Amino acid sequence: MKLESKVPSGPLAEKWSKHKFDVKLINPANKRKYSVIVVGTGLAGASAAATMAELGYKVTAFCYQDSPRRAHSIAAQGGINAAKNYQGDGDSVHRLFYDTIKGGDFRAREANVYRLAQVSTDIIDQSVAQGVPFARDYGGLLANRSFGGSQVSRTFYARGQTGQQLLLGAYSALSRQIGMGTVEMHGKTEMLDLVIVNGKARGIITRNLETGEIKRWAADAVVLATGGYGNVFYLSTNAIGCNVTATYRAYKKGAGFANPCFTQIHPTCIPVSGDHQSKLTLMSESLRNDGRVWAPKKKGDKRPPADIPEEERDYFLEVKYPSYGNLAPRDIASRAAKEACDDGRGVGESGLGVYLDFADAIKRLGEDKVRERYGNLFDMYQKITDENPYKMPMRIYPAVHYTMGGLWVDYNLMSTISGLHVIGEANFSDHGSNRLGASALMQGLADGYFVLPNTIGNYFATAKPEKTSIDAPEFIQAENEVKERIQKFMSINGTKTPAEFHKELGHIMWEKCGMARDKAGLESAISKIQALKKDFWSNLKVTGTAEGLNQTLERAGRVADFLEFGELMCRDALIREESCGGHFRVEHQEEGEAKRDDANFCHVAVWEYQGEDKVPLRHKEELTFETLQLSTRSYK
Amino acid sequence: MKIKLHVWRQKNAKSPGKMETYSPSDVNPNMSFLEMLDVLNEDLIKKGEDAISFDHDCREGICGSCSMVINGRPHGPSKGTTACQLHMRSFKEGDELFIEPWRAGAFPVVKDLIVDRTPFDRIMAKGGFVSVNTGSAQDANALPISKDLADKSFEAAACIGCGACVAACKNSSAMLFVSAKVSQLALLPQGQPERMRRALGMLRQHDEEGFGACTNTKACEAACPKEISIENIARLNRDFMKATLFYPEHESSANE
Amino acid sequence: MNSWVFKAMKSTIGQKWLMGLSGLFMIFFLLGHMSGNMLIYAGPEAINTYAETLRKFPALLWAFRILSVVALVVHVVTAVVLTKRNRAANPIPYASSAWKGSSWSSRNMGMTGFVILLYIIYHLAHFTWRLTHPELFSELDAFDAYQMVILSFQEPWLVGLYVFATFTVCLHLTHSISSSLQTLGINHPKYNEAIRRLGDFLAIVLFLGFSSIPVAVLLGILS
Repeated sequence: MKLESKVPSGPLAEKWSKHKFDVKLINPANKRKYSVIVVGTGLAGASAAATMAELGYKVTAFCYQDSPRRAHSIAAQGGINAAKNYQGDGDSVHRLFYDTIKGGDFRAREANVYRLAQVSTDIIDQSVAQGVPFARDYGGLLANRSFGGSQVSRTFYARGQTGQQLLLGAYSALSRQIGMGTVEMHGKTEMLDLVIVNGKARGIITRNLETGEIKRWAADAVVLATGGYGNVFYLSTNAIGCNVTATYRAYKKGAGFANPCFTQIHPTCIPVSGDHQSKLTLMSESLRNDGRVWAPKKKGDKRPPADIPEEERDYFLEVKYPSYGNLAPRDIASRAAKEACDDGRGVGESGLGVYLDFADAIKRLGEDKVRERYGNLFDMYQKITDENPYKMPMRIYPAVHYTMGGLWVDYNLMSTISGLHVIGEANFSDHGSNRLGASALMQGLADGYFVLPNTIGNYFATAKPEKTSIDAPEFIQAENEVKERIQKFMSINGTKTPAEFHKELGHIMWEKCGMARDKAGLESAISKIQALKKDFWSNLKVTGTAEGLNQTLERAGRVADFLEFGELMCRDALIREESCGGHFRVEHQEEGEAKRDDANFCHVAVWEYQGEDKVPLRHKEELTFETLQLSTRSYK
Repeated sequence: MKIKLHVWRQKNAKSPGKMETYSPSDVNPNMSFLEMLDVLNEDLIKKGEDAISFDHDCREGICGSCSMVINGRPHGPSKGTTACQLHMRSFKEGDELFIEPWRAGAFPVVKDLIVDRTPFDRIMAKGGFVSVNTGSAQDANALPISKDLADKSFEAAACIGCGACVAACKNSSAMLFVSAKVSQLALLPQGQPERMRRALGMLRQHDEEGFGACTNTKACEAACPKEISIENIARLNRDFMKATLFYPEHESSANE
Repeated sequence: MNSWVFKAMKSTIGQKWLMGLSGLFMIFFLLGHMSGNMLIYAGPEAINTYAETLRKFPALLWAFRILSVVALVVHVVTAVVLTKRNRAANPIPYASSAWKGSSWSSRNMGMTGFVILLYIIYHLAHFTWRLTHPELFSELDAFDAYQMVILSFQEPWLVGLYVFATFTVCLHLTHSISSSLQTLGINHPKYNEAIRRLGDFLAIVLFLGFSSIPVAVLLGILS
């Protein structure tokens, strides 16, 4: 497996414009001769599909939801970063670049991150032009707020529904192209395999989730924008349908999977309430602008929060990280909360929770102002917990939220398979080992609107994909494999449901490969997952039929891939003998803080599939820092 | 908690459906409504039966997937709440609940509680956008927009496209949905160049999909989980008539 | 026919505008009608002079009558078209329906409208065409409107019928005033409550005004 990052030469600030000039172009009349398949239509997929169609390419897009508008990008609450420096508080492209690299604990590629910071400003312009109703000040100009891991206010927002508004913007651009007939959209369609012909990604196999029909699709390039794999933990803030299948299938067909163990645990989620729980709900990080995080100082203090006097409260983030305080980055805030709970100072029935208290903010700003800023989040909290956060502090606990790992891509966002491009959360690129708040929306849209549409032309112009058709033997074979697999799911007829397997897997992953990981735990996780996988293939029960809509069957397919993928994550976590960002190895810490090992692990780990039940190969892309100095991340 | 459920079961669009009765065991008041159905489904699968199909995804009230009428009310009895955010504590021991799919001719049942809502996407494709190609935008702050207008636009833009408005309407009219999208853009300066064309195009597609006419009963507003106001419908009514009476040049372009 | 007028009248909003405009016209008609009727309390002289004055300007009277008939016909025909369209849009009923947030009158405009239509025909047959009670009018001077009313409403069942009918009109109107304004695009949060109250107030005033006359006759207050 060759890992050529294809980062252009020259000074960091000029790489992207130089690259855009250097890439081969395709003249407008010829663009319509090239076809692209886009899988997934969240922020990255919808923006890419729309923009490529605007340029003139023939686009066919797929999503498993009934409409692109429902992709899980919609649930992002807090905001989107951009180096606009509208607040005049010292922000710049370089500072956003620096914050992102530092926030990612020096495990991201400099050139990619710099480009991300550069195009961030264009995203805001584009979205506003589409009619995205960002928050504004009375003067009519855009408002900003601050987010974790940054000391400037660069986050643009639309109340607590920024992701929704940005997705609806991208979806409206996509709808326009659908209306003009330049994008063919297929909702309720799931990609079940990637087809490779002559070493190039040439198409996909899909299942129509309403009819059960298996179909072959060919194109000159394939773009995966299928999001993250947080649902490997069963409980996460992801939508129920989010899955790893598309990227994992691509991995099995030869695409390198980078840093699968880099997962983000978000500090402010609503704690689990019982065994029936199907998903976790995030409370936006923006709440940490005004909310103060604390736990009781005494162990097992079960008094109601109002009865705990000020001096018996431990505002642990403010104490440990005075310069960032409650706005410490996510990985750090999460671990601090976990420590308090592990120490027996957790609150709520389960003891798995800390307080996020708005009493001071309400005193300072008044309840109305707090309602204006966070009303919808407070309402949501109350609906779920039946507690009024205006009267008593919220209870929060960390939960799996985002996955920084993903398919490896070069500077052009192409994976190790020629023609297979990967964008948004599905790739590994810009966040290193920890993503800063309000950066996911930025990356998804940067990839989709501004990067991929510029680089994919270069692929067509240089690779010159030859003619192929869905009747090529590779397509037929892939289709048959997909059908056999579905037949297998339907025929095992065991006793356990897909959800039960999923839950068991999630439990293993959360315990052994969650917020804190160690060698023994990861090793036991690998063998437990292998056993669970065996059980799955002999004891699965799927009812209904393979034809028509069958949500149990859909789940089975996704869980089957999660089972294999979970093992890969544990392997990656096991070999990365350091702590960095969201990856915390208990063996590698210094006074409770993550201890990075730049001598041995300043690289991207890229896994290459070797075959069923074989240990995959681990490759390295060394990371070099030309502009920034590798330094210990400190938020103190 | 013990409750009794009557759930609409329908194999596919062609076969007839009927209400089936279930008595899920162990309903915990802290469960969300969908989690209660999850637990019931696990039981059904174990018994070898086909699980109840229902649309759901984000389970935090924003994707607009969930779509069920609970005791005659879209998304159930709580105000401003989607079914996924509804919790069993809203019900009492021994309650009898009727769960049905959205009912509208334009939303045919796909299976059980799942209906086909693609008409909304087709309406969007007829004008629910500002025609601005990527990269052609000016600086975002070059165009100041009064906070009031931006806030109002946001309130219309909060629509999650779930279709509860259609389900609540005795005429199965999608006017609240259409008007929310039309209003979001009509309130902003960016939306002005295509304002008339948009109102014409989207309303025509609305009618073509077979949604009914609005008779101002306001049931949509009461059912809307995002509490979108029928003020938007009035705006659509104005814009559509204005476009019809005074902008004949948009007639043809809106039909493209 | 593919003109813009035809297209607009085929659209849901176009049809609603027809309903709203014709309805509003009829509301003004009712207000005028009631104001005229109220003259009965000023004695036979007043109301008869009013009736005679109207007849002195036949062109105006007929223009108004034709407009009213056109408004009625447009209202009824559009109502039938819309009802059919809306029923087709919603073919399967719910097993349980709560219709929260909508008023009874808003959901039953078709039914109340139908009752009103029957009543209008009866009312015309009664006073204008004089088909229902010819015996009461046979000895009267054609223009003695006052006596026509007094003689008619001696029968309790007829009084009951009129009160019931005007009550139905009232129900219809509680929805129609704010509804027609909404259809015409008049909706502003600042004034909505006032419009709704004004609608209810007008509906009640019309009901009280119209129904007071037969009741007053029956009770002997007017004779």
